Amino acid sequence: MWIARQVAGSAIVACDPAMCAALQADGLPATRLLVLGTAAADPLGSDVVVATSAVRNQFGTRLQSVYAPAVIASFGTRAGRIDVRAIAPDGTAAYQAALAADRRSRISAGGQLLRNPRIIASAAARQALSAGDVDSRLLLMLAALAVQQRVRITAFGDPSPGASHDVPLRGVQLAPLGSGAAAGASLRSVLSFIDAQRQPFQPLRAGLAGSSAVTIEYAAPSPLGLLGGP
Amino acid sequence: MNIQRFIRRAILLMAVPALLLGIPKVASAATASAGTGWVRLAHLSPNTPAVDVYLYSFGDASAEQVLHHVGYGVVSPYEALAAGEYTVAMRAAGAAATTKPVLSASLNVAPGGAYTVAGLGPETGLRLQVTSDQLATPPGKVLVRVIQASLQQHEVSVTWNGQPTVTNLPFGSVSSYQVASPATATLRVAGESESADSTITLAAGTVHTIVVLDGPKGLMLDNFLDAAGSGDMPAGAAATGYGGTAPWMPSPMPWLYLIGTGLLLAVAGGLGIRLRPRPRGRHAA
Repeated sequence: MWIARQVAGSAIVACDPAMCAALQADGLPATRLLVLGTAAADPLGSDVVVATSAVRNQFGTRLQSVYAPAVIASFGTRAGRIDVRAIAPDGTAAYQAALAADRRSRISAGGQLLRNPRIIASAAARQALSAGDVDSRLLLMLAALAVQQRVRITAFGDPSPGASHDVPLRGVQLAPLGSGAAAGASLRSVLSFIDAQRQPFQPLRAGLAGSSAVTIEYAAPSPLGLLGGP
Repeated sequence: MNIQRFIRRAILLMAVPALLLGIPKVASAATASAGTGWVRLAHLSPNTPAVDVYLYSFGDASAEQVLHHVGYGVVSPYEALAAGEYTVAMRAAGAAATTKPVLSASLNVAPGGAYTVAGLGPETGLRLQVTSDQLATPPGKVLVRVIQASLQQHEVSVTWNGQPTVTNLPFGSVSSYQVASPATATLRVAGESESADSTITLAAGTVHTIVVLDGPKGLMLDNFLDAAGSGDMPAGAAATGYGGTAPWMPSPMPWLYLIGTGLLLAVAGGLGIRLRPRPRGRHAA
């Protein structure tokens, strides 16, 4: 269910036959599933792999050390544990290097956003921005949104239980700066801004959280290298 | 002489020589020390209508930059931008300020860096690609790269002075810089069904971007001078043909800012006007 709700609609998911059947029942089309039969040499060609005990046994330590170093979500414990891992198409070393470079860019970009006088952030949000913990899609969106209107960031979050510590936070909650009708207009303006976006800046979902906030959530896994172009 | 008068005269004395001598070098030193880079924009998507392109600074929401009504084949002059991270977004040309911009890319401007933000590909797959522009060449050489923006020819090959420079470059892509020897010679581009050539001079120490376009009568070439020997400042667009220096830019070349600033300082110094910082022009978003 988490995969159906949180993983990008364009992502290919590698899974063992039983898990693939379950994911299909959850609504994932067969075209997005890469079934890892017993003869499969690797999960490459997919974007994420669902590491059940069968998949872990099949690929052993190479699953983590070669194909998919980062856990983007994890469920259960011991033998029943299921990890959802991001595939590293160019190998673990390249992935780790890209992840480290991405974090450096996110730290720099987050620091610049904190100096933006039109962005007000809670203490926790400031900490997340300073530490480079925020998904680059959110950072890019916030910089543009702040030109349209002043932005108050209540919190960043991530609906990914058990994710590796270096997986960026993909969600944000924004609150209006005014009150009454002005606050409502501000929230609607945020949602209108979000609605206008295309991939990769179109969120998985965005909506009102009660009458006083907007929540925006981007899909997993977070893209690397979006910041700091070229 | 009181101190204010002394300062005014000092400003005047500094400003006048700046107007008379070597403004580009002054611009280079001043902008580099202030932590600025240079950005230009290119609309190279043949079947995409004109767009307005916005650059949103992460650190300063009032520093929005907008390049209006950029049409196919246009490559703007370079504009100075404060170093930092930017979100690049687009609106249809002339779209109302109430419409929401569509986020397209990011741009990290490094001090002294030069960049081209190019709209590439077909309309259905339009993307803004940021390329880093070289400002310096190997000694005695020329750097040339090619942007393939012809939808009619899926791939093109370019020869310079009879030597293959870039081969089989697909539509919507940018080649890496190639080292070439300086000369006045024929630059030839050939696609599957059309070709075009032009006699141009590539001088030692210059950096060029050759853009391949669909013109009204077939394949066209445009030669843009990216840098001309300084190694620390782009040259702006020196077009030899279609597009190029079309007067669409909302603002002048960076060195014109310096001339303007020098004039203001001179006037201020002469008339005793106290200059105050002015907010940069903002465009409603």
